[in-house]
Amino acid sequence: MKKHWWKVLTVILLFYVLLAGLLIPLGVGIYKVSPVSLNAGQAVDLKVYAYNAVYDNTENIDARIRINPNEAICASEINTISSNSLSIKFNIPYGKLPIEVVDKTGKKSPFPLLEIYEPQNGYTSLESAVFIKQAAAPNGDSTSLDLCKAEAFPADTNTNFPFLNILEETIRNLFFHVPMWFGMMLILLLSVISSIRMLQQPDRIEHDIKASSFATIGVLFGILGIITGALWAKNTWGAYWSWDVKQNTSAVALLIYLAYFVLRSSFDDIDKRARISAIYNVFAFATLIPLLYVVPRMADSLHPGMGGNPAFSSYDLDSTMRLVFYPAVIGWTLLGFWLATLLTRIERIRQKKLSLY
Amino acid sequence: MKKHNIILAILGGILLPQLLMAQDAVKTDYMNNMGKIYVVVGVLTIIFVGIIFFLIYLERKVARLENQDFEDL
Repeated sequence: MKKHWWKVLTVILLFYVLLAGLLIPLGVGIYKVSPVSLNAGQAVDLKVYAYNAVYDNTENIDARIRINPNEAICASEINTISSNSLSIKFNIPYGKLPIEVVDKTGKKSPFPLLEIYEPQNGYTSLESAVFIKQAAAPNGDSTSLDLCKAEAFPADTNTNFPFLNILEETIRNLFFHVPMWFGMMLILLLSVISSIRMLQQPDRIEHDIKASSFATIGVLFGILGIITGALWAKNTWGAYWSWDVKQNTSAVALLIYLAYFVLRSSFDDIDKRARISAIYNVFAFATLIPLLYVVPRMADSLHPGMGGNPAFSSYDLDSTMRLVFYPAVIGWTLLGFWLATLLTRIERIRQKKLSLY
Repeated sequence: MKKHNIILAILGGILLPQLLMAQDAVKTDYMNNMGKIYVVVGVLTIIFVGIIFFLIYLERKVARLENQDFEDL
């Protein structure tokens, strides 16, 4: 049992990842606002639809459209339409509103930021929620702007995954799709280490068995990663395969590794096969890194972390996500390692039988 | 015969969900419903199927060893 502690760890980690990754609810998020365009001097009735919200009691709801870090247009009246949608009335003032479009560092600001706070549901906001058409007062008098101070709402204490528009619940795929690639990378690294050791000790065929087993699992994870990615892309980017750089380069990387198996099967002599495929593996790994991590960053891509897209950092930094994501990476990688050891053992028995014969 | 079975299984695996979905497509767009949670279900199913396929691959390898079929080694 002592020898198998890491297998127990794998099961526990994956069990935890499945449970936590599927059961922790998403936070409240605004997914629809209408109307989007607001006119100065208008008393607007803004309809706000929120995901996962239960707004039963309107007394404690606070809502405002924040136009800069310190000022906001506060709601004059809040009514519920249904438990997850609100009708919020705003009086849009005349005159030039101090809307902050870019912040001091030149980055795009989130304003006008629609913010809703309710003690049970917590705080939720939508960046650039509305467009405010500004106009001078019709009678020409420059009345003071009717703005309220934007004091920070209490921080959200609920354990939630962040709600992001378009992604919605699919943010959970971070624990299943992304670890496939992390696992593939780590397992292929083990494969290339075995290949290098094979070259150092040409008489030990065992390294070759290990290298090919790890490569098999790496490719399995890669194929699963690319198929799950395609399904995810269909429902967020709009197509299974949109010829995105990241998709293309990962497909090429997988093809390079498939060629590794073709190369292996073309040799009858075990030693020759071990040596040549070890060299090929080193080169395959060397092309894998630029294909997956360098080229996609140099071109425009829909994939997070590429071509100016915000990386997962914006929600990866979310502490709740991290709590599940890191165990997921370790768990799936260990599972891959486990599968690879099974394959290694079977191959070793086969080689032994072969030498007896 | 064995090959035919595999091809049938793959075709069935692809076509059956399509047929089921085609019937439901009129009623609801499954994937975009309920915050797209079915995308996560789909991703988990793909991973599960992938691991099952790997198990079948291992099983065949072990079976070949058991049968002592030296020509296949």
